[in-house]
Amino acid sequence: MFRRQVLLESISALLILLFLYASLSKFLDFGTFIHDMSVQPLPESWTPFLVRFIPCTEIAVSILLIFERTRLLGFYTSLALMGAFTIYSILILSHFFPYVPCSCGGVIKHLTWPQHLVLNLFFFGLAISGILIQRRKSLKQPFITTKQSLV
Amino acid sequence: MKRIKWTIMSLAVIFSVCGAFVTRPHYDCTTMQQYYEVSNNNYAPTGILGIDYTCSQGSGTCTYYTTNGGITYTPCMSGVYDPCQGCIVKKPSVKTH
Repeated sequence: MFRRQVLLESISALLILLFLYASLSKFLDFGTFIHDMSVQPLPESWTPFLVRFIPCTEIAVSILLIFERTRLLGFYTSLALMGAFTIYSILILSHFFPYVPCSCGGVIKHLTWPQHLVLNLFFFGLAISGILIQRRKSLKQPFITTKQSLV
Repeated sequence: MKRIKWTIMSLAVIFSVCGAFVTRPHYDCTTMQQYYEVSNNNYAPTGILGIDYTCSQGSGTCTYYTTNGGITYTPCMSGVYDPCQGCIVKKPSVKTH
């Protein structure tokens, strides 16, 4: 039980580290991030929305992952985000789009696309592990009836 | 357990915040004189961004800068150097090294 809890905290911490670092790096170099987003093969009208939505969602996910009550939701949101980034990386590598510069923040932007895919898959796997452990933990917790809780 | 939890969470937050500040670009190389690669290892100064040239979408390095009087040139803006006249320009991305 103790080991599982430590594992759960570590998975959450790694995801927080990734999302918080990536979002802060984007905000600290916002001009470059806007430019990088504007050269992505996505409709240009999406750029003003995406440059705010992506880092704000990453910060929101980090907050959800900190607290026990919202952690499962945080893991599901992480899975959705990492899933989207992974699919995007696969599309880039399969030459679905022409060359696309990375719009990640900080040192992550220096990764090549194959390295990027490995990183995404690793965190995608972490999010799945987090969901499975968290759900198993919730199921194993003793069921408290309304009557018991009132006593 | 609570103590361990908050220690792990605090470390994650501290490392991500510090990491983001440490790895952010220390200065904006676009404020320095820009050069473009004329041919292999031959560089020439660019004009004014948006008037004399622009960096259009592409995978290469658009402009370079030098800090040692032209001995070495470091990539600054990404994209393809485009000596167009009077183009509409967005702020190009900055490569940090």
